[in-house]
Amino acid sequence: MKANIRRELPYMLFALPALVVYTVLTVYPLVQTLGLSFTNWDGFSMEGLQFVGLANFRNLFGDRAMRITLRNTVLYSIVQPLAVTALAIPLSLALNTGMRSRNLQRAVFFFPSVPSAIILGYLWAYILAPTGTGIVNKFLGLFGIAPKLWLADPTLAMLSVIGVSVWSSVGWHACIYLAKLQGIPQDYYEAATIDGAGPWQRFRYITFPMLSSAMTISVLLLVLNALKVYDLPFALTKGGPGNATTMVSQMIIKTGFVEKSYGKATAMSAVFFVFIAVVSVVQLTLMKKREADLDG
Amino acid sequence: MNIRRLTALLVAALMAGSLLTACAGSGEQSASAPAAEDTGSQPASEAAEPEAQAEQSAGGDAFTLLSWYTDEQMREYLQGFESESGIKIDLQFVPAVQQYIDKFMVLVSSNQMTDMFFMAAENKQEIIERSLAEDLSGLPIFQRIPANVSATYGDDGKIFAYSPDAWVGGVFYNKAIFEQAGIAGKPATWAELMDACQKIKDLGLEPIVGGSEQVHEMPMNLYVSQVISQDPDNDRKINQDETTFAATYTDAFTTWFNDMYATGLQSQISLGLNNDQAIDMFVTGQCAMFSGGPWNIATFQEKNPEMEFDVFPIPDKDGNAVLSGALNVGLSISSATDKKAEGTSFIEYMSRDENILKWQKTTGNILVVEGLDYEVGSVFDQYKADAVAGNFYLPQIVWDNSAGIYKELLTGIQDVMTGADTIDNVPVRLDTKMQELNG
Repeated sequence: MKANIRRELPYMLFALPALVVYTVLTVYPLVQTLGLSFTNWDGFSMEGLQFVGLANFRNLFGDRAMRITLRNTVLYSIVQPLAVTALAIPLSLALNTGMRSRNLQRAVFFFPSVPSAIILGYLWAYILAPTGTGIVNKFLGLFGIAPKLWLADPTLAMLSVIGVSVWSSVGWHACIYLAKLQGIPQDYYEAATIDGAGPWQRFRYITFPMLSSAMTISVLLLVLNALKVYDLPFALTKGGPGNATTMVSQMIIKTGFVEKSYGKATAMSAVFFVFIAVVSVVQLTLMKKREADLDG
Repeated sequence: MNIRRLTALLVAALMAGSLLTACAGSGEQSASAPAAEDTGSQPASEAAEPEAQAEQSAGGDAFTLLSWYTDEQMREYLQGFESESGIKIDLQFVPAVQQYIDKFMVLVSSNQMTDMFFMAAENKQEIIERSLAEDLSGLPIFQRIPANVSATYGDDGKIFAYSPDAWVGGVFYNKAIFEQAGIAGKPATWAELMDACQKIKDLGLEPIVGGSEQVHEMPMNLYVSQVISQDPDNDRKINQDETTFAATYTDAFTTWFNDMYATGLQSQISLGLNNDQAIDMFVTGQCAMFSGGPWNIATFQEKNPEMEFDVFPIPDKDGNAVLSGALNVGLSISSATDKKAEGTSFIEYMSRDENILKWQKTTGNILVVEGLDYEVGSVFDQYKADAVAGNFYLPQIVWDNSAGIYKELLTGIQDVMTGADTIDNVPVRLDTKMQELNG
């Protein structure tokens, strides 16, 4: 035991600064927020702080707006990761070929993930505009299709948010798969080809199983980010029209900083934290099991 | 459970926890960053510097002002005050609105409030309820400002902020399009306005557009002209539970919906526009009217210098019309400061006639101080007398917990425009939200 500690100590010391920063900037506020969710904190002062038990948690998800935002978040967290994964894997396969322009293509597809979501949101607000500046409607007009209210119709607005998010994430997640693809030994493919396997069978029985660990990471990141998403919907639609694209994160911030209901906002954060933690753990467990099954 | 699995689960839980952290920390982060960038004293004049330093050393720390306005906008006044009094003011600029409010809250909650600050509609309730500002009602300038106007930042006869100016707004219209549609001048009644909208629609143009966050303005301004013109205290009565949104807002909202929205005179297109895009439609003649205020005029003139436009308030069916508008943010002295005399001196300096007139040039607003001769320099010149008489109104200035109610109103009207809710239910939602926020 002592020998283990002596061996690990230098590594632990290297990790210590990051741990201290993480504790101060993340763990401490996290614990403090959890604690405040059981008090009557008014956002101004800790003086007169009183324990109110579960009062802030009562009827938390009872109002209509909260139910809509929960539905939006769940929908977004299912559709966006599915769409990104469905597109990123074929894209990574395409980028893994011997095309001369592959480096340029990798850069082109990766670029949308570089600017902040806020910038992308404002940019796409112009691209999807119903006015003369809306490139998408202009393009549709070339085929005689009437302009669509991309950001003014609730269904189209949600589709737009998901679409922009998928567009900006696919390249980055394709890189995760690409890195894994480049590590798959060519011997497997050569042996399979000799055995008469076609392209689909090679993908089905070699590539796809070998991508499972990359998929675990990619999907975990996608789902976590989707559940917490705030910036892109806010920049693109401000959560509207109505609450059609409002996500839980935005609702928590609105409840706290706009309505100044800090107790309720911290309670919502605490519940949502538990929800995300449970989803993450379940997802990670299932995907790890899947990895093991595919390996076996 | 092995260590590897335990570590993986812990990492997943901590990643999820970053959301909670963001909620706990975002207010401070968003507010403090720009303040840190922009904090800084104005260069002192050489003659006044020794005196200022002596003053500060006697009084301890520098005299500080949390400012809604930038260094550049405040420089002239700060330098003038310093050269005259020897008191140097350390300005901390934070951009309006939400960042300023967040910064204000952080300073108050950490007992680091500046000596002076700007009071806004968005933080006045907390300031007054918590006695965070000094009573300024004894200052002579308030004898020249209508009591109902200075009461915006007051309570129970006390006045907690000094503001000499107010913005008033209305509906801008493109004169050429009105002429082309055969509309004779400004609509004086709601029926005339609907008739004008129909004539513009017949030309194939949008009668009126705004950004997605302005779609509530038409029904709300109609409410102001219809109800507030008859009962200026209606929103205060709502605050005091003497009436409700459902009882007093429904009629105006329903009129707007039936006459304008259901008939297509106001379209859903506004929900897909931001403010800049809506302005672009107005200045390029794709729509005839745009609801706004003095802050829009420079943009209109920059984007289309040739466009001739004027402005009018929304009239109700009987021709009653109240301008939308509100008193500008006002200077307050922190009740926690030990430099109240310096704060009072600065407000007295700012309330001299010559400085009020300079301030009007800084803001472009209309002055609410009586006895001043000046030109607004825009289409709002015609409403100078209305401003001095206090004939302007904005419900969210009066509502308790106004930010939350305002957001509910905007969301409700957007829901109505997409068919997700009925117009009758919007005032009901406002009542529910008010009850919820009042606890």
